[in-house]
Amino acid sequence: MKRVCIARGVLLALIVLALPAYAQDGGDLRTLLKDVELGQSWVYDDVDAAFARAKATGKPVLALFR
Amino acid sequence: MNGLDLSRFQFDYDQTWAVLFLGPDGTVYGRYGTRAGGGEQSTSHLSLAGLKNAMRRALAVHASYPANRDELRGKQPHRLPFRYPEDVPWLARRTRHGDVRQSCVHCHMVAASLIRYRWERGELREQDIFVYPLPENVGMQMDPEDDVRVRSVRPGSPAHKAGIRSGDYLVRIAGQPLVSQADIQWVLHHARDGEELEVELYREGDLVRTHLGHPHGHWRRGNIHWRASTWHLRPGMRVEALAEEQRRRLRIPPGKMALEVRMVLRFDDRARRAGVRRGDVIIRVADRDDLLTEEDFLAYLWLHYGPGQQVPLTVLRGGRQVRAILTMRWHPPD
Repeated sequence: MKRVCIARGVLLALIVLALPAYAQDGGDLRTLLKDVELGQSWVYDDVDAAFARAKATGKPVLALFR
Repeated sequence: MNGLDLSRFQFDYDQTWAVLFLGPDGTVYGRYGTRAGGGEQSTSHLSLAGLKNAMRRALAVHASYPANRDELRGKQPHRLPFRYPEDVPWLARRTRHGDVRQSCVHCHMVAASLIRYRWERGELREQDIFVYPLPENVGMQMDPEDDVRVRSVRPGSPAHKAGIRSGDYLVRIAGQPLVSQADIQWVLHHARDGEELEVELYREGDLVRTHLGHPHGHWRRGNIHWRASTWHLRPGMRVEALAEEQRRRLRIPPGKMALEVRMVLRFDDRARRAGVRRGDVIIRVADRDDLLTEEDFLAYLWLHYGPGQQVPLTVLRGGRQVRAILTMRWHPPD
């Protein structure tokens, strides 16, 4: 992951999942996915929030579907 | 995928790991994530270095935006028959399921729904089954460490005829700037049969332009076994080309169909109702005896027969020819 993290600073990162219902049902998606190593720069399961932040910062979005 | 706007997020929905690079206004800059098969092939086209290079290229596209808006036009989503997964009746029912796990719409379900939707309307095309062809389909093996670098070119292929060489860096195809080989797949997926694609590449510092054609015939076809969206197309059975030794023993001439039924599914009764048994060898489908692979067999069934239509199969069983009638229907129904 180290090399990916280098570039992540300049791309706004969004994780969109096939399992959004978990977030509604089980609370924090990041915790449920055990993504403990990922930084707070990732937006989980909230497309509107990601694009709002992208517009505010002028950064592009990296949307990850997994 | 529940609630996701499919008119914004379009990619190869069978991927288990896919990235979209987008501008703050939603403009697609590029895609990353290519899979060629199951097992080792599930990750053979991915690498951290490849992702990093794709990210760098996406940032370069962003730096040139909006001056490059016109050349990004071809990368934008196309019109789909539905905008949200919930617009599909059978997916909408799923999202209302009380159990959380059962209510999730997975990416491949959207892909399968596109196939089913078009098949039920008699609009299914080869490119709906064999989606996102690999660069290999036109003769280019790309470098997974740097997706736009050509690792090798197959002799006699369209890429070879276009003069593309190992070591070339592809810059644009059909005018679209390339971020990764997923972008090449996007272009090939949407290319019309017979369309010549303009290619721009760098070779030893020089910009070279050429044109990439398509081979004749079923150039989109390839390994779809790993694609969950196509599992519905297997009509209650898994078939496999008969081994050469068994072909000789059964005196099946070269070039003639011989697909062994390796498995008759319990949860899907389509083959069972047709009377097909495990161990049968399918040697004819209607008037066709030249369907040599499972892909050929499935493509023929679904592209030529609609819902409720009956398909006559001829199988070898215990040294005798037996007729079976397969009724075409989607499984599971809903």
